[in-house]
Amino acid sequence: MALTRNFAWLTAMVATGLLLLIASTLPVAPALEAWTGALVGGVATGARDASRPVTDLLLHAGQLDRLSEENARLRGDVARLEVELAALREQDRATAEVAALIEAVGPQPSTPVTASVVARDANPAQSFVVLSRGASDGLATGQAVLGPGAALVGVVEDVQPHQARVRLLSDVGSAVAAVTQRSRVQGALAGAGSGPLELEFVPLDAGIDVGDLVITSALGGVLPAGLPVGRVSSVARPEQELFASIEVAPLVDDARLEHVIVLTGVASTAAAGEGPSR
Amino acid sequence: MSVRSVVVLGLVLAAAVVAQLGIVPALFLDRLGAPVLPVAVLAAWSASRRPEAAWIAAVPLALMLASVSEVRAGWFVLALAPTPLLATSIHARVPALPAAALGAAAGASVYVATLALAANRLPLLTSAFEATMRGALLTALAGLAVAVLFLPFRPRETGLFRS
Repeated sequence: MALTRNFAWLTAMVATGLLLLIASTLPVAPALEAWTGALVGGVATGARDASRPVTDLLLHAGQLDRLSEENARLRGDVARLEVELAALREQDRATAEVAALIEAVGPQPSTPVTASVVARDANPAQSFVVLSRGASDGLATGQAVLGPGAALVGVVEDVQPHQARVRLLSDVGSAVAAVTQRSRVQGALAGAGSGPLELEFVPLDAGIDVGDLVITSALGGVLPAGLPVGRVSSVARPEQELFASIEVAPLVDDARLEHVIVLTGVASTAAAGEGPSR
Repeated sequence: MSVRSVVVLGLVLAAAVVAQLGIVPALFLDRLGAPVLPVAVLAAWSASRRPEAAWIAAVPLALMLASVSEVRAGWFVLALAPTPLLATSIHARVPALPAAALGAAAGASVYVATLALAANRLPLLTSAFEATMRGALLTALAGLAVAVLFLPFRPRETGLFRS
């Protein structure tokens, strides 16, 4: 009897699910979803901020050794970066002159818009986030989304008037044209759903080493060139394969994203069929 | 089933959704390896109480989750629907606490698989199998913990000699 009743409930639930799938095609559905999403996302963001002291404590408990090592490594990085900074200051003077020329020729090609991450996709099989800015702020599909350090973290996938959905680089459907900064080897940087990114279609004999910086390439026709994305974390060259197997560790941990910058005015919906999603 | 049960479970599930979207991502970097708290609550409730409230509360729960997802609400209903059935079916054979844990693990697996299917990401289940199993295990632990919290509120038979 109980079994029959439970299967009746299950049938009713399946019917409800199918009805909701049909109802999601109604014109009013996106607006309702955006309204509910803003409410749920707002409360979830509040919970995230309120629980931060506890989550930080839990995450870093027992990691003093690792943090000490990381601190030492970062000090080394700072020293190296100071040397690089001196060289870059020299280049900066020349760049400023070029920028002045570009500005004289036309408007700034991109305008950065800051946005907060209000929610993450509830589907664990997808890597999307919802931003607090939308079409009314100049956001459009195909625009690059940058995290800390101006590193690329994703691409705007869908916009509502006051919200935007961003496909993160780690999403399985994400693929952006990329190039290694040192050896200028081109490839397609694809998300794997979890773990590091994969640099695909790189020939076996390409000169890529662990630690190489990977940046965006203009070849995709969607993203601006030169945005840092990650560093090569492993390189394998199986002889029986056509291409090398290369893993890239993103520069930004997208699980911890709270604020981002969207480069508006760079790409548009015209990029359909060629770009971040595959 | 009473209206009060549905309201109480609805509130607990709303809190679980807020925790799932706000706190869990801060603690678990791997999405697939993270526990699914709403599934854990549904399984714990279904194993320790009558499951009807769980079926009803699953619909608004699905709407809340879908509001911040690419996947439509109907898919979330389909993904959550098996959990009460799994938990009650298991509870018919084992006590409430292990049933909550096993139901939560099975429910989480079905939940992830259904949503992966909805998002056309089925290969992810094999490529990230270890993470998916870790997520199911953590959901089982969460289901067990929630079931322990529900234990004092279990409905009891009244009447000293009722058979």
